[in-house]
Amino acid sequence: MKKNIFYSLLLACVAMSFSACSEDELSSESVITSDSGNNSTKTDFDEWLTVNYLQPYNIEIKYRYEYNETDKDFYTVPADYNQSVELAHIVKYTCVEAYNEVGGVEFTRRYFPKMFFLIGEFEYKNNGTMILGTAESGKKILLTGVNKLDQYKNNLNYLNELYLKTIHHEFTHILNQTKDYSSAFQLVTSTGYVADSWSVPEYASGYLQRGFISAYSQHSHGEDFAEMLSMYITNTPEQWEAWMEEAAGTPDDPKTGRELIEAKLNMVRSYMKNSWNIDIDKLRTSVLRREYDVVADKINLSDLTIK
Amino acid sequence: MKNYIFKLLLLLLPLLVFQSCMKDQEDLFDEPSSLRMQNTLDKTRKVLEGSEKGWLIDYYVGDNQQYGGYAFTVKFDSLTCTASSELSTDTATSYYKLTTDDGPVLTFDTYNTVLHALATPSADNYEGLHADYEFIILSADSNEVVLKGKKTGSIMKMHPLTEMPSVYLNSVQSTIGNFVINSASGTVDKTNLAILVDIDNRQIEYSSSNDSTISGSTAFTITDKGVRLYEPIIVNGQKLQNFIFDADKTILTCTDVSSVTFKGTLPVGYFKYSDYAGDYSFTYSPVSGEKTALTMDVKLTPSGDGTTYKLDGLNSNFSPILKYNKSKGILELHSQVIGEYQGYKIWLCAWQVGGSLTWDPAAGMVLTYNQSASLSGKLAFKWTSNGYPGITFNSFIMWLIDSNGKSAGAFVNPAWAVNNSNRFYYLDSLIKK
Repeated sequence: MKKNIFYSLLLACVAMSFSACSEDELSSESVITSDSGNNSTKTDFDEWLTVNYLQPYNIEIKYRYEYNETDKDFYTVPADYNQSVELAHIVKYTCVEAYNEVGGVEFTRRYFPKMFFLIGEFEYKNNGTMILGTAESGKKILLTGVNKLDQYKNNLNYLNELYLKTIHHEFTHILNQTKDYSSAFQLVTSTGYVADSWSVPEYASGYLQRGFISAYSQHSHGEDFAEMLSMYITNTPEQWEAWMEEAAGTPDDPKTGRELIEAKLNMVRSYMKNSWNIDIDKLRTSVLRREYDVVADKINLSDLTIK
Repeated sequence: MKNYIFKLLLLLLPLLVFQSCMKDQEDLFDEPSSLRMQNTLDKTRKVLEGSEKGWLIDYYVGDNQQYGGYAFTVKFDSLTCTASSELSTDTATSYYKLTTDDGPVLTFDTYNTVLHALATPSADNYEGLHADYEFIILSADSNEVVLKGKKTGSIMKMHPLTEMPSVYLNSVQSTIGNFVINSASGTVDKTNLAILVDIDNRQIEYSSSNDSTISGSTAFTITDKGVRLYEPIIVNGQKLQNFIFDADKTILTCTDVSSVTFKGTLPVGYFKYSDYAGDYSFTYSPVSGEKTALTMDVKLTPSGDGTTYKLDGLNSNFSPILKYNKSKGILELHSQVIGEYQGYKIWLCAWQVGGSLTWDPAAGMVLTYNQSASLSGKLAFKWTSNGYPGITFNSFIMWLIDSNGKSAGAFVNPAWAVNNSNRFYYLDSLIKK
């Protein structure tokens, strides 16, 4: 009996302790305020982005510097407004619409990266190299060097190397994360992956003969796959063949590079066909045609009228 | 035993239960933080847009202001801002934003060739100059906006401009042109103060010979009339921060405290334009090989424009022009046209004996102060090459150039000769009489 009283007392105490202090009300006021939510500070470009990226694809392009989006390891500067406008047009025409054309708009809408953050300069390192772009978990893509776009936009190689190949490369990662590729891919050159050592002199050359399309391909099979696809669709068939010939070595000193790369390419080709119903040759044709149009100034890159 | 512990536990329970719900927490502020932040931003925006001619920023560069301060101007509209600075002749417009990522923040968030110039990195300078373009707003009213650079932590103050930015910046340029000083000294009440000035990095060091607590260094910005220090020099509680510079007398006058002036000294080897006028002994060789140096009388005569001298006394047909370099306080003799002969231009060309000569007007020799030879009270100068890339000049030679700018060979003519020669080998010295 005594015990019961103790227990009931205990229960009462516990009950009391749960009853307290419920008078604070949640304020309807948001604690987050800034000018960016203010319509009066919207630019023409903001309106254009809403109609051309946000509404059709749910893609956000951040061209105004935001400290919280930057990589604090680097000193950099904001992107130039006019060149951001041009880059947004170029990405739309050569990437987004190329995937629309070959994979269908639903495909682009569903899988294309959802956020781009632009900064003015490349991210220079103290060892003389620089970072062109990075991707975070297949969602946010950082594009650097926007203020150099006018300098490079009329050169196909630079345009691909510095800006566009990065986007295709990162997009490939997203596709891979959604549907994995055959594990047979990683076995083709399984002993050649060297992780972060890919940029040391030992691996910076001769990678073609070892069966890798680029030095960075040697990082890991995931990067290899993304490099294979992005290199393939941003280079002409002639350029690709030239690399294959180099990969094959000379008659006196034949190498297995060509066979290895082509074996991997076949896997990339069938992955894209079977998983996404995309013909990579059609994709290459579309991407290159569109890039030529940009390089030849056939596309108006600064038109912000909303159609 | 078990029961005993249980009772003890029960005794403890009230302690846990009775502690809550003391309704004596008062709000420190009347409004929620979000509203206060928004009010600060709205007020700041009004203040920024309120200055009709824009704002002057003392823009300090480097983690410890080690690159000095520079005059920048910014005019704010509702969306954009327009900037100019003493470092560039451009005016550039870009966007800005007030945001809240680190308290109230003013950020210049699209690229501006003026505002971001010193922050821009490159492959050669991968961190830029650590210059700021995001600022925490510490205070803002129509007389002064106090900003703190997010990268460097330097305090940068903005003041409303009362004249057009270009007018103010022109005044700054003229101060920069006149601002030649090596050190200065003066007294505040009875405290001695000595200042060393580093013009290139815009820094001063100061100390006192009779008050050891006064010692330090700080950066400065050049203003329309003089200089403003990053941090004031504090003497007996008095703050010295703003100075007017009198270039003719080399005097800094403090405008914060009455009757405080510092008498300045010029850098060694720096002479004012007027110091150069007078008669000189000129030593050089009229003939090569024999090194027969001779000394002749010449005269430096002001040309009347305040920036050049004529070198008289060589030959009545010509007097070469020497340019006064105001920033260095020296005279320069460059390749120049000294006359015409049968349709050709006669050039006095800077020349390296046994090497090249050139009629590029940037080539030449300069007069540098020779301190050891000046001990007897006479101003003595040595001739040295002017740093022209690739050639160390030691001589001058007369040369004919045709109307197309092509060489027509050496000019040899007794009517234009000096000491029977149309060449001046191995210019040596120029000593004032």
